[in-house]
Amino acid sequence: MREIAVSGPLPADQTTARQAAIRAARREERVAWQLAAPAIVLIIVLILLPTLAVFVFSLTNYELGYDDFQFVGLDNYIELFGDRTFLISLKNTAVYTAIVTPFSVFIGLGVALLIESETRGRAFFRTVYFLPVASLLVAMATVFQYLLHPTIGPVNAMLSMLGIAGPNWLGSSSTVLISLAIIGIWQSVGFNMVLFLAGLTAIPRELYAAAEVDGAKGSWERFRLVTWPMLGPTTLFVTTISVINAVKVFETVKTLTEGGPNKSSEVLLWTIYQEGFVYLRVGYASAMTVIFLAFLIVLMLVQYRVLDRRVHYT
Amino acid sequence: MSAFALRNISKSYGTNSILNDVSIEAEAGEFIALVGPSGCGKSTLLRIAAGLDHGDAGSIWMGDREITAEHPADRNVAMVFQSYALYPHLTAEQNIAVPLAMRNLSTLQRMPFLGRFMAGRSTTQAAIKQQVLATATSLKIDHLLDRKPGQMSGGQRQRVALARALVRQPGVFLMDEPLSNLDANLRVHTRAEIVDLHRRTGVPTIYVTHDQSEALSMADRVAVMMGGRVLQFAPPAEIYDNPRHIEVAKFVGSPRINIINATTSDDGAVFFGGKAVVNGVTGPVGTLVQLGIRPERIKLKPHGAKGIAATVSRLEFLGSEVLVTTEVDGVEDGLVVKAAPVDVVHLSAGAPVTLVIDKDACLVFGQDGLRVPLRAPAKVSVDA
Repeated sequence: MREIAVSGPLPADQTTARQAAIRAARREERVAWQLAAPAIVLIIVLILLPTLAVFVFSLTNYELGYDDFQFVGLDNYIELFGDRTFLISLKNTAVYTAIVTPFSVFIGLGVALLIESETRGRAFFRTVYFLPVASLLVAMATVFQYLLHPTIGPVNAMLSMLGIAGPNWLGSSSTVLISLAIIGIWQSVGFNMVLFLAGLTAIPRELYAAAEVDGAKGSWERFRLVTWPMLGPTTLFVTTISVINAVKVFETVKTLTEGGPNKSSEVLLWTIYQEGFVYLRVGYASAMTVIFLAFLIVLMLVQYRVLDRRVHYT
Repeated sequence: MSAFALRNISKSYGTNSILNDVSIEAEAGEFIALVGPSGCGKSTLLRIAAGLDHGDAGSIWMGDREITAEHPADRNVAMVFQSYALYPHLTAEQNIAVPLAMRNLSTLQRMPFLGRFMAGRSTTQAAIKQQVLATATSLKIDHLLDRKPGQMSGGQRQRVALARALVRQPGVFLMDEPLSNLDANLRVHTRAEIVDLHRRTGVPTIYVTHDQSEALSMADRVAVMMGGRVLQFAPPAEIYDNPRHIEVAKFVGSPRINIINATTSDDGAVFFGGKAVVNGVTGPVGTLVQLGIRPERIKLKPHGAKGIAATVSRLEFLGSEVLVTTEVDGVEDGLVVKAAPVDVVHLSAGAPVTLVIDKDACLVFGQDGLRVPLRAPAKVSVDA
């Protein structure tokens, strides 16, 4: 721009300037592509190609170990929706998510508010609540297996002291999903708490001062007037992450119940794992994976479309 | 009885003393400015006045009612914050309505869904809407009521913040540097508007600022604070012409007052440039004093005239006036003179000039910074 501006009114000069500007623009574009190329290549190789491969597999009858496979069109998908196991696992995953998400979000928020208002021991509580996130769920599963054991487990021992006959937590089809959900909440509260703590520190202190002067006397009123609305973007993000994590539940199912008893803890990832790695039906498992991905993408789109406009104010 | 008073307020964090026995009171309808450099404790004092912070000692009075221990919500104070502190998720109308809703609606009536079915809510709500509209109209922001703070300019947000403070007829207005986030033009304009608003409402106002020109131009009385103390609390003209402390003299006025180190001679006279510029300084001969002379109280004369010989080192053209910085023997930083542009057309850096100090222009300060009283001159002055 500057070259054009300082060059004189002569037409010849202007063409030189114009050419220089075009050359500079081209050079900049070339550099931009060069700088972006590694990221673009990685995205294609690591994310887009595997996803595409899964989609292609889902249209075949490929089974691991066989050399040959045919394209079968949408047969896998048609089979899916007549498959009782898949439908049960869809339902179970939905129930599990519906329990884990609200509890882990609101308990996470509650813990974050308590830690934020406490001046002493803040680092201690933060670390303690974050421990389940950092710990290995597979290793912790043995602890839960012991805790929830119907005869020797401390949970039922305590219940029997109160005169309540404890259920077979992980062994009965009526309680197994709830037991897994409790473990899921236990694991994700700490993570949500950390996100909420970050959100809380970003709220300007002056808003609380204004709320007090404006007549918000109680902490509940200040929460309603300032904290809750200001945490909107954080809550949206935490909810999205919690839903995705809940839908991806697998470790506890694999280590504690293996989908049982009687398929009552059969969840999506477990079903995919069974089909793909136990029965080696890669094509069929891929179709499930595509459904699973579509489910997550739709969920995220809905959340962002519906909530995004209501929680971002600037 | 004053309408609002802070009496003997002290506050310290650990060993760090923030406020030291500060007393400020505002009469009914009075506009008070708290001015001082950053860190002087003026914002802390305002927070204590609002009830957002508590002093270690002292009391706060609204008329004859002591409110020292009261919650901010019960004090009936209104505050305008530097960052405006508008609720970003609410529209301007909802923002302005918050103080009224908090007071006039019960907790149940304010519940998100249940509230709609509570008795008396719609009547109160209509009254609130009316009041909000009236306040917004008086501040000329009625066309912005549907907008959220994120969709408004700084000046518009500032007005919404003012409206929110104004809407419920508070007992006192507290303003914490409300203009410092505005650009220079808008600041001068809004300054006048706030003064107008104050005059219309008659609500006593305590206005915190670090800008001495803002304090002098807006307030009925100015409290100059330094290091947690009020050095002087007086009307603007008094602060400017008759500062009680050298820090007040230095802080107030732009360009800054000229300070000259000197010693007293016989009979309390202080000589500068071969002439006694002050007479009647109390204390023994040879006392070290500091003379303060406002730049507009020094006259520029042609070279060779009777007075103090100086050399021009810098000229700053400001439109209606010119600041002339001069080098003078015995004065480390030189003397700044405020002159009319016509008087300096022939001058350039390096030119020799003569300075003449106005009669009675020198303010004398002791080594402790306090004003040194002068013995009444031989001839009886009018204001004695």
